[in-house]
Amino acid sequence: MTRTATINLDKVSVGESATPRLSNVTVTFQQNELTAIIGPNGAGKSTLLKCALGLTEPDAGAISINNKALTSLSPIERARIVSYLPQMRALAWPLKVRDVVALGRFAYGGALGRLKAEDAAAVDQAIISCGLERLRDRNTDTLSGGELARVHCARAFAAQTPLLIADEPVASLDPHHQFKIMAFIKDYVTKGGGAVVVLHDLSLAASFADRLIWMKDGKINADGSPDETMTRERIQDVFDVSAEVSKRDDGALQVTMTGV
Amino acid sequence: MNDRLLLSCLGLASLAAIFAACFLGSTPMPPGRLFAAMVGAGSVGDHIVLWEIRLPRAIAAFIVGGALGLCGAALQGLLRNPLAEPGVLGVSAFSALGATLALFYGAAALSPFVLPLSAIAGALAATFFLAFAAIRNSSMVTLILIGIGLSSFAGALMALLLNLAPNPFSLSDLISWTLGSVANRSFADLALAGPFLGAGLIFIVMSGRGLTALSLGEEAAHGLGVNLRRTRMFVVIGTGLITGAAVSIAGAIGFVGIVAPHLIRPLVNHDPARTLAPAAFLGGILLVLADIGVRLIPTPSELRLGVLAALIGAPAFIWIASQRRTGS
Amino acid sequence: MVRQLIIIGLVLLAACAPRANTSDKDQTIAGRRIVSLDYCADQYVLKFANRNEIAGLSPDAEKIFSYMREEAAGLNKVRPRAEDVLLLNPDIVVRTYGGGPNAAAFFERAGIEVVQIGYAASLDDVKTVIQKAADDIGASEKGRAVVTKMETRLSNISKNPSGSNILYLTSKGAVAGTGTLIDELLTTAGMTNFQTRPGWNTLSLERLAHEQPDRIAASFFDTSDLVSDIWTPARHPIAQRQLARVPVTELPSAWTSCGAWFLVDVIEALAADQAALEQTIQ
Repeated sequence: MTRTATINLDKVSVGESATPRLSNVTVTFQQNELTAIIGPNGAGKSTLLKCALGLTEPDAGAISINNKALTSLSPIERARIVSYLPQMRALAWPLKVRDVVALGRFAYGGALGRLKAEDAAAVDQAIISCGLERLRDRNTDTLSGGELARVHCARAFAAQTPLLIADEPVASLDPHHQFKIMAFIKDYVTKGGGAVVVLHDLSLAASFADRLIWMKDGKINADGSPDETMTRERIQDVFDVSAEVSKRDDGALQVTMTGV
Repeated sequence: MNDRLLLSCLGLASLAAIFAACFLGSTPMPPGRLFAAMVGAGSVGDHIVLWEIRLPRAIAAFIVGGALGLCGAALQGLLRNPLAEPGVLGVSAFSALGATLALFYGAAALSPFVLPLSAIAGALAATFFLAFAAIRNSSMVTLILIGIGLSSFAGALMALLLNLAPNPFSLSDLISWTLGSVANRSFADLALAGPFLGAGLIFIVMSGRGLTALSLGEEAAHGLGVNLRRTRMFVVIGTGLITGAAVSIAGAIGFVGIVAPHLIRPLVNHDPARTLAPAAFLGGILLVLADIGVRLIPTPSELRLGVLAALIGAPAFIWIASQRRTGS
Repeated sequence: MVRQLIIIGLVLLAACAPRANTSDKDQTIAGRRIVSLDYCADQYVLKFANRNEIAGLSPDAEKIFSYMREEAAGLNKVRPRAEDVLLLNPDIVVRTYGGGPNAAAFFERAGIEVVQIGYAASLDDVKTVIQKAADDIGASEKGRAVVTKMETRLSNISKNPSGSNILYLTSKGAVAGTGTLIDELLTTAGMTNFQTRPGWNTLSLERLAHEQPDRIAASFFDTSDLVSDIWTPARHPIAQRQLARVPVTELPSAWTSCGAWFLVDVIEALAADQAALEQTIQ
């Protein structure tokens, strides 16, 4: 993970000009920071991530990974730089946990059941880092939602990419698993990775993220550290709710919603 | 189970099934005569019976079953749906329609390759339509409904062709094509379909890893580095080629493509890529056994292979469908 | 008074009309309308009815498998649907199978005479069926002539059995065995039927691999098309090889598609081919 990696979006727009899903967005994602994208439903968060991954083609603007146009990279080249945890996590087949994690090595050519030593090592490491040792031979249809979220996390880590993009990785998880997943991602970032995560829980975002990107109506409203950007005015402006922002004893920000 | 062990077992079972099929026929042939014919000894008649009648028929059943098992497994992987199958989705019906169209308008008389090519064109039309109509909508119900629509439409067009039939002697043709059979097939028939089966196989094999990644859904698969467009295209073209070739040999035979992959999946940890080859072998074995059944069941006129396949396969289809959790 | 005269006149005219037109010895009724419901009935109608009496023939009357197809040209064709047939206002409807199982009862209820052509399982049956059909159509004399001609032609065929085996094979792979009318045609022509199983069966390729007939009577190959015959045993290489190697008598489908007087054509053709073959051998 020593390779440096960046994703640049330059004046990217998606959708019709009257109601754009993304409007003239310029942003850079890089290593060694955990970026949380926050904003109300329909603000363009998922669209932004999909553009960065080449899943959605922009109508205007340019996207580059490591200064190379995204469209010039093969899917395999791109997958070796950035891994992706999408929102939809239903598995079509009840694969074994280890096989799902091993899919993270897809870009390195490993077929399930016939992994090279290097791939097997990456898979084992990811399984350990997400605490899945005891579940490795279970079928995914026997897992709880939290366990499945950990499996997907491990799958993304197994790719050992310098960048990770996760769309609501803690959605519909209990608080224990929310913290656990965020801790895994934080750990990945401290080891040199760069993570971009869509979050809905402002407190969770404030306590884990190094950088917050506030989005509304397809535009970036603010981009900076939680301390700089997490204000009750901004919450009012972006989310249209009243909130109290306070600092806990340990220095972390705490957000309390007080009403509409 | 180890993949290699599984494939070896299935390979041996395939040989055993084809061998068993060679014992059956209107001439009683004790094993001694059969072995003699096999090694080139024995009477000329026995030799002809084995090499030109029984073996081509058994191999036709095996190839058609294998083709359907493989296409079922590939379509299920692509569409992430255990009920996807050329027969259920109307691919076989469109293929049969393509073939009968070529026959009715005399195109099939131009070159022997016109028939398999027309069957393939019909199959491709259906797979392309399915891929573009159903792939975005991963709902099982929508997909199956589209399949039912395609099947009915193809059936109606076939009936229309029949009404335009030039003489009353061709009334049973619809039945031939929609119920399927491998009786009276020769190696020449198989040779015509061979190149297309081979080409289709290459496409399917090349899409295998992508199918495994697609277990996680299309977006995750994209993130893993799967070339979605290529994978989709390869499966669509591959199943079109293979189903079309199979239909040109035996007509439309349903449900083999559902049953075979369903039985294989637990043995390969539900990996779609590792399901492909064993499902093909098992599909072949199942159809050879079904064809043995067709010849053993004492009906006044020989039962159609597709009828027996549906008699076993349709209840299996219903059972698999009812086992599915709702909402997926 | 005048009205009464007109009415009487009309009644007289009507009473005279049939008599005036019965120049034929058979009691054919002028202006009667006959409709035939299938191609087999077409043959009898064309043979026994006067041309101007035929209000409708089946749509197959001019097809290649219809023996009297040349005579059928120019005559009206009607689909055997009750409504279409009734529109033609027929007095007599002739059928073997046309119109479906309820057709006879239906037309009788509508006050139309239905002539049902019988089924012939033997050459004797054929004669009976012909005479019965002729009687029902009102052409007994013509019927007797046809039967007599059949008998004359049959008696001219050599009674010395050649003993050669013959296989009767249709383009769809059907084979006629013992007990069938075809079997009687083959033996009357002096041959032995290769197929010893009774009744109609599908060609056994396996038997053909072991034994060969001396001759093949190939029937319906003139109606053969890829559509129907793509997967029949008759197209299998083994059968095709036999058709290429063994002397073949091709029987036009028109001769065998219906059990009637023209079955004699089949017997004559087979006997003639056999005689020619024996001559070349000697």
